[in-house]
Amino acid sequence: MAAITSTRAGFRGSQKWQTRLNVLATLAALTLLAVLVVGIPMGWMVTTALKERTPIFAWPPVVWPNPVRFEHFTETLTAIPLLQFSLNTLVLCALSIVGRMASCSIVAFSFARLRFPGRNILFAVLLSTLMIPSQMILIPQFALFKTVGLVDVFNGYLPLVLPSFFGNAFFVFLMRQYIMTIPRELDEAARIDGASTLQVFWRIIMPLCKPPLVVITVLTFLWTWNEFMHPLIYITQFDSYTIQLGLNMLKGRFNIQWNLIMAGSLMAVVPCVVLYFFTQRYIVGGIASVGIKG
Amino acid sequence: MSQTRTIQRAMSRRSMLKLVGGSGLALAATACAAAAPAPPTAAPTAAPAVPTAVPAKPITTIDWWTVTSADIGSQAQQEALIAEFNKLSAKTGAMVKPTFLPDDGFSEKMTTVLGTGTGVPDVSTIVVDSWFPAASDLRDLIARDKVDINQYAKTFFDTRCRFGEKIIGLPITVGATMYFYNKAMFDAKGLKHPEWGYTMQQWLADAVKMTDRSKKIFGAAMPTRLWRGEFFAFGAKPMSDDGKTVEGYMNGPKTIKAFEFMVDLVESGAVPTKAEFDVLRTEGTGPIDLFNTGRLGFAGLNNGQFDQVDKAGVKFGLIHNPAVEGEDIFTNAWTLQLGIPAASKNRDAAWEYVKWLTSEPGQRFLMNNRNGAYTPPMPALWPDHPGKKDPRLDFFFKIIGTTRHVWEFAGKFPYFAKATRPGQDLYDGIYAGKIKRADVKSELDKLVAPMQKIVDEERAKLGLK
Repeated sequence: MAAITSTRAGFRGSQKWQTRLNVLATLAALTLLAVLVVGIPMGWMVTTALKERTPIFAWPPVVWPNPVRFEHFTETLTAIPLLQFSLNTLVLCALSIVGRMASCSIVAFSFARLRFPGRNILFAVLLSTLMIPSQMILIPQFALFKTVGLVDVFNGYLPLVLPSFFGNAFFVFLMRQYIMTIPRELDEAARIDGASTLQVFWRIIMPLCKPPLVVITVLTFLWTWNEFMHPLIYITQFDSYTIQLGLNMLKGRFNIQWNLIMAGSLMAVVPCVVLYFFTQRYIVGGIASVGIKG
Repeated sequence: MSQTRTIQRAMSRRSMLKLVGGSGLALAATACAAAAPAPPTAAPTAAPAVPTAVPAKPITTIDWWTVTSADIGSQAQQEALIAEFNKLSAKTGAMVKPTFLPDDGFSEKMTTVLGTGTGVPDVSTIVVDSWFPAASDLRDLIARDKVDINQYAKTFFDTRCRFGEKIIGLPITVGATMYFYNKAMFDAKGLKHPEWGYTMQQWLADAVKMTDRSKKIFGAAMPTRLWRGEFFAFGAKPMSDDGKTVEGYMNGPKTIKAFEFMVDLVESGAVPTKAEFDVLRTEGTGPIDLFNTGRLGFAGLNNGQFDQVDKAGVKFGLIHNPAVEGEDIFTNAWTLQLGIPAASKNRDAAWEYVKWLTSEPGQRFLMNNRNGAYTPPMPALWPDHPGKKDPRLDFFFKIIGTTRHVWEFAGKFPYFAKATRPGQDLYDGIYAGKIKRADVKSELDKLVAPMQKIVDEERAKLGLK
């Protein structure tokens, strides 16, 4: 009997191991698939940047560039002032980040902590703006800025940055959800000590909101860095172009210089990768911690 | 909370705010210095080359929106052109400041500013039909300065520079799509090289023979979109000659034949997949990169692409768009209309630039400064073309001079693009292999009503009876 029980236990144990192995294998396969989905285009970008033009579309595909053309990077930098465009884009990113952090945090705090008539309706209205495609507001927004004379201010940067100072529905939602996870007892203790609402926001809530603030920083950076349409509409000075406008200058109507575009894109990706490298633990933590309390 | 504490340890509130604020301010300061408006690169550095006795006009700076392209040239070539014009600023009272835009975003930007009527450039190419109503009518200026419009190739001028009674631009450059064929691929299969009069059926047969799908080598490419020359070659039309009626044209027997031929072409397997084609084609022309890699027998490319194919080392010949027996040969030929948006506040100064650039001195400068890559719309200048010894240029002149142009029909109706857009889905469906030959007629029938509605609405908007 004992032998049978032990055999059954062994069988159950091996079944458990089999199940675990299956799960692990599935996860590994999915991970490999994800790596391939991301890795193949990235690999193509790298090799294309280093290839001569003709082998780019050869069949069967030429995987390793021969000869290796590192000069495509210098050619790209000669064809367009990529460093200047990068600096311009960094300025836009920095100003947008400051604007988003300032506006979204205070609006989110109001929705999370303050009680006022119509709060939920206003929040619903705010969230509903997420459903409006940005292309739909492009022309009315341009007309608005033109009417109030802001289009050409600071080489067209002002209309690009100004909306950041008026919040963003997604980030407000993100921060509100996070703030709601912070115990109200902390606010109440501060109020007993005589803190005003603004002091509670600044001294109690904000120091605890670093994870969502980092998420806002990183996502705003990535969105601004990769934005094409809005800078295209507002910026008219070539010297003030952003990096995406610059890269598109390499794409002519009848001639696409794939290797230079890929070399430029590779250089343009570097800041995003570096930023993600240094902030990934905050991003994961920031997003994971949102939504614990609704 | 423990996670929060960890993060708090890693970065204090103050240090984070300092970091963000400080870097923002520093970058803003740097960029304001770096991104301050530079003086126009083409500004004249020497004294104007006009007699000192002529009183100088007050100078107006005009904004020219342009793209770098095979049509007008690289940024450096265009800056040289502008410098040439700006030398005359004391006489013309105008200085040009170019805004170089990415080709991909040019249409979007123009559509936005023309739609709002604000922030428009003073000079631009007015190439999209929907922009025509927003362009300034130049007839008064043409009459005042006695500009001879007969100096331009008539077909190009009439099809692209006129909008109803108005003249909305003057032409710069001429171009045409031709069929480039890979001589080595023809020779490898022992095929006879195409000659004038080459037909659709010959094209299809040769394309099939050159195709080797196992090596991803294709004989031909599909037309880049609906209502290119290949459709008109069948005698097909999407609407009547007066532009009023769709029934009997979009679903007429010749249109059905044209669409059925496209089904045959797809089903022959001689063309690249739609995915490959969509990625690799360039605006209005075929997939030059496939052709340059030796994987395409025929590609519809243009005269501005000769040097790119030469650089790739591909030996190629030229032939017109394939013809259909009993019908005219059609070509996708174009010019760019240089015009002045009606909302420009500097119309007179803008006109000075348009007038100069489209006149003989401007055109001659462009032609000579582009080493033969630019062909002016003035036939009188063609004998002086720097590339005149190149037989390919002769062929190009023959094409634009003797074949019918797509724009002869399409250019008559400002609503042509909008009215024919519903058909693009059908064309895409054919290319994706979803539409069979037997379904073509019924699919075309379905398009008649929505297209007629668009035609009626657009004609009403334009005040046309």
